[in-house]
Amino acid sequence: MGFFTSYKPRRVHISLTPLIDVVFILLVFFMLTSTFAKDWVLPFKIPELVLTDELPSAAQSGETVNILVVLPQEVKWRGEIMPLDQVIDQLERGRDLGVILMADPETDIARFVNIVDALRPIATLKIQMVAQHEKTEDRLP
Amino acid sequence: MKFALPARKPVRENIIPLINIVFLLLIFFMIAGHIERKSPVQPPVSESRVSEAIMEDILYLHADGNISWRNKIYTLEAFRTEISDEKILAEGDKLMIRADQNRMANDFLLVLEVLRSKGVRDVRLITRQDFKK
Repeated sequence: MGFFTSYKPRRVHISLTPLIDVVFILLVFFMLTSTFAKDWVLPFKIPELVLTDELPSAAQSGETVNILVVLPQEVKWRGEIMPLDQVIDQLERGRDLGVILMADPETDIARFVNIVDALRPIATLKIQMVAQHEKTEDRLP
Repeated sequence: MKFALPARKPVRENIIPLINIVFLLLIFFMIAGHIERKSPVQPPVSESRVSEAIMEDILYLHADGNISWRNKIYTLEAFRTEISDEKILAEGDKLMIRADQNRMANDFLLVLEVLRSKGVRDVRLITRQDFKK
């Protein structure tokens, strides 16, 4: 009969162009929307935070204590404005020194975190933090 | 005397290597990157390299002065008064704070004071890496 012998398999050509289009669109989408940045954390132990009423009596009476006020550009160390490097140098030479860290009302978090980053490597340093209330400013140097 | 030039055959570029590379790039971006909603709160840059799983329950300190906690927005004063009777965390849990880098640092310390009065002892401030360094 020769029914099957007349069949010649044709070579089917599959066009890859639509596939490539879709893959390109997916690639562009993932390239534009993906983020690789990872969030990190800066740990704070809240016992490091001192309430204003718990401040050392010396600080409350206006005597010179280790209060570091973070200003927008400089820092105020023991009531004196000076560069941070100089303060760090003093702190590194001191032993088991405690610092009460405060933020000026005009200082933003980015600046404050920079200062905390700079102070943390000093292993012997004990950092405490105090929030400034309206009345605190009058009481502290 | 003129020679007949041979008929030019259309050159068919082989695009299979291109597709392979595009596929590899696609797989790389799908696996290595992650898609997240852009947060209105831009955390500060820090040198801290402490990596922890970011929890769902985050206290947000927005640049405009508001605080958001569990889908409610507070001012600093409202947060101080309204949150005072609410149990914030189970004992021993850490609280994640995502604070905008332009928010005043003193506000952050004031919030820590409120949290301390609520018995929170451990806080994680979410930061980001500075890629320019």
